[in-house]
Amino acid sequence: MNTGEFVADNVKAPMLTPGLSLWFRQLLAIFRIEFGKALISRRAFACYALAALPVLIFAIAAFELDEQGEPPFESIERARQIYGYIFSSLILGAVIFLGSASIFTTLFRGEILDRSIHYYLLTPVRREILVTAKFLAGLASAFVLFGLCTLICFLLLYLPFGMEQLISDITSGIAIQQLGLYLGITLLACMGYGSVFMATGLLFRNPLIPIMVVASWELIHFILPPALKVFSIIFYLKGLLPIPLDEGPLAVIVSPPPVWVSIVGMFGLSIVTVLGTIFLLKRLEVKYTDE
Amino acid sequence: MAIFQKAYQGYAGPLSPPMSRTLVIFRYALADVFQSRLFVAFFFVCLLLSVLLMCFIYVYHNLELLLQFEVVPEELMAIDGTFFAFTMQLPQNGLLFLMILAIGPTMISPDIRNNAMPLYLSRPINKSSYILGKLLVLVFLGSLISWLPGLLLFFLQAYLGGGDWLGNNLQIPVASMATSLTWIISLSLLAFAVSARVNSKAVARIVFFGLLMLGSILGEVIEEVFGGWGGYIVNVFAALEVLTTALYNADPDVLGFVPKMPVEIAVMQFFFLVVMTLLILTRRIRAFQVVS
Repeated sequence: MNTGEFVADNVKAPMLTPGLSLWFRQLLAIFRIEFGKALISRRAFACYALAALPVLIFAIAAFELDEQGEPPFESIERARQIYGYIFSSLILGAVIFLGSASIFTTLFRGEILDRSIHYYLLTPVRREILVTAKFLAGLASAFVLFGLCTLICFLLLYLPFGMEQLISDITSGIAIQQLGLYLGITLLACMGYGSVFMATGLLFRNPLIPIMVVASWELIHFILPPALKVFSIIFYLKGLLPIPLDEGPLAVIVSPPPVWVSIVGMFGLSIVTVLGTIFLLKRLEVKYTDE
Repeated sequence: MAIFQKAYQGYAGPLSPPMSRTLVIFRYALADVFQSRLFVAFFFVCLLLSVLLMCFIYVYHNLELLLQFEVVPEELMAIDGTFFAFTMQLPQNGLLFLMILAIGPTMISPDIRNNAMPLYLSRPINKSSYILGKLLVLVFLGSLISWLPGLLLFFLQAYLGGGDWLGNNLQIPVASMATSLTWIISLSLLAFAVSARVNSKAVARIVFFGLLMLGSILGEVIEEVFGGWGGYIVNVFAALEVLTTALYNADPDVLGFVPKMPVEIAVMQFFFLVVMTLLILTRRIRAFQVVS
């Protein structure tokens, strides 16, 4: 082979030799694009607004008085309880749920609605790489957004008690342990809900139906019998909460699953649903006129 | 006539009455809704509730049937405002929400997305006729599954109950109409506002559902943290429960969890919601569009 032919071959196929190196570069390239789209776009504004809500509530609660004229954060124990309640009901039940629905449904269904999915499908990228990169980008952006929200809310909790209390809790390990658990739950929630919504975004033309079904199921999980509770994501996540919450008089009480079961369960769910998404994407036939 | 005098001249003939022009929009929007077989099925399922209640009222007043079912008539719940609120209005509110969720957010966005607004508004149709025409579809369908069967049930019970039941429970038909129409109109306008802001039907539905879900959870959280009823101001479901209980003169203990919020605040909530959504709609529905 003379030099001219060698150069011509490289120009035709620049570094497209299949293998881990290529796949990793492709994964990184898609990740960068999707991460940027998830965090810096008009659609991301809704997620920013969602994430700002708990921060706003904590900022107000730090200075406001309740109806008896007492501050809601009367002691650090009470403040931690309130944080646990707001985290499980608002952050986990609404902000992360709706935010994940918005971020992960958009990954494929949004592209189909924007009529731009064919650009990805026409590139020489394996569908496995495409799905994995999109999922990781969605997960990273969701965790950055909602993890930051969890962190800021946790810091705002200490606002009425001053830096001394924060330093004391950090040195005693309570703050680090609780914050670590809350951030871990946030990551697992983004992973669990995100993987489900990514798959349903590809499976259903109308993404509202799966979102409503999952929301209703998660909403009534506390009255479900133990055999059915295991099929809800929130059951595994609430089992990890550092402060157990009272779920009301109608709740069917069951012991929370062990920590490793919750973690392995969320990872397992994510892997299964990502594999399912790959399967669906491999059989995807885009007809924009049907949308 | 000179050729320069044959320029464009607007139509100067008689116009049809304004309401009939609004009804054209209503007719076409209604036909669009019934193109979905899934919605038709859902709509008829909604009517089953009233049929079941009708059967219940008939059996309630039929002593022979009650004895056959081995039911002691004295043990049955009295049919009054609480009964109608609990067994009819609360399920109907849920059905109305589902109906508006299914069709409300999809009614305006296709017209805006496809640049159809200039075509509508260049005819003798103004913004209010357009919004009213679309709104009438939801009011019409919503009425068919809520207060109209409610009135039938009321008169059936009045006929079978006899005596002074009718005179003692005259608040029920008013409550049924007022609650249902308030819920239909406020939710429909909210759905239209979302539909006017979001171009995609699917996204509009999700945003509408998300807004209501978020408002509901946020209200609960604010109430838990700060106490009082301030949190319920963002929860439109709480306002509806308060309004239903007050209008039906129902027992709050039977209805379950009813927020301790003044009924005036609930009315103001709906009023504010309607005004805000109308403001958004009038800003978004314009006779000109920038075609990108």
